[in-house]
Amino acid sequence: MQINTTIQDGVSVTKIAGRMDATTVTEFNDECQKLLNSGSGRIIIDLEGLEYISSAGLRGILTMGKACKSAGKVLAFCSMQAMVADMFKLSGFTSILKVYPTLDEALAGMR
Amino acid sequence: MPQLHVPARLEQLAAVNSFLSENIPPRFLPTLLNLELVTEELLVNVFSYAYPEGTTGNAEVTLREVFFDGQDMLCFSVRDWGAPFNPFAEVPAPDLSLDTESRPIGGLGIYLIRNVTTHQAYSREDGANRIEVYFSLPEQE
Repeated sequence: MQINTTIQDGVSVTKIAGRMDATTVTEFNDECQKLLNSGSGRIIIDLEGLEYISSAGLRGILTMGKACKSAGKVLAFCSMQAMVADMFKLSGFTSILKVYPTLDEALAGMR
Repeated sequence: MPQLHVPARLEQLAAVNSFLSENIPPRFLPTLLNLELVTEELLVNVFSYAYPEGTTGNAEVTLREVFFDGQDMLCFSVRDWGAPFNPFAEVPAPDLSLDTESRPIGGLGIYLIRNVTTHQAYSREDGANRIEVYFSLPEQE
């Protein structure tokens, strides 16, 4: 899994690529911890490069969602590939997390 | 019949995924990611719970095509020799109506398996748990 965080328009944008499974989710969790500790109040997780997610990955996503909520940070996800979008939908995450089709739309939604 | 035996450890997941990519019948290729998902969910359960802590048991995975109730299907099965466990009967369905704060972390694995497969079966035989899941042929584009 590759992770890369940049700041765009004052928003943290973290791009995730590869596979988020039981063996790699700790890398995502570590990055989330950094994002939570940073001053950034607005966070976008860009999943364009993520081809696969399992329940272990979904646990990481939900943990981040809960942490942002209790820390008062705004969190959004964008650009999901088909398999990842299916898993978000099946898990009911699309109704409890902010999800946008593209990064531009996510950035616009953060303004 | 393509079959793989692995020590029941998380590090084996990559080897099992290679086995799946190499042995999936081409016409089922569009289901590969869902097959990998089911495999991970089932094997992580075996790796985590089937054998007493500090011991390493084995898991066996098998891939075969089956003509099932008039349809061509891909059957994926996992066997382990650990404690009896029928996840399809024993794992409760998650409550998807809860909001972010109330949603428990976890409990999605078996639910996802039910949703991406057509049939799920469990049997206990000769001291082994056997789980079989069936994938329908992907719809032609």
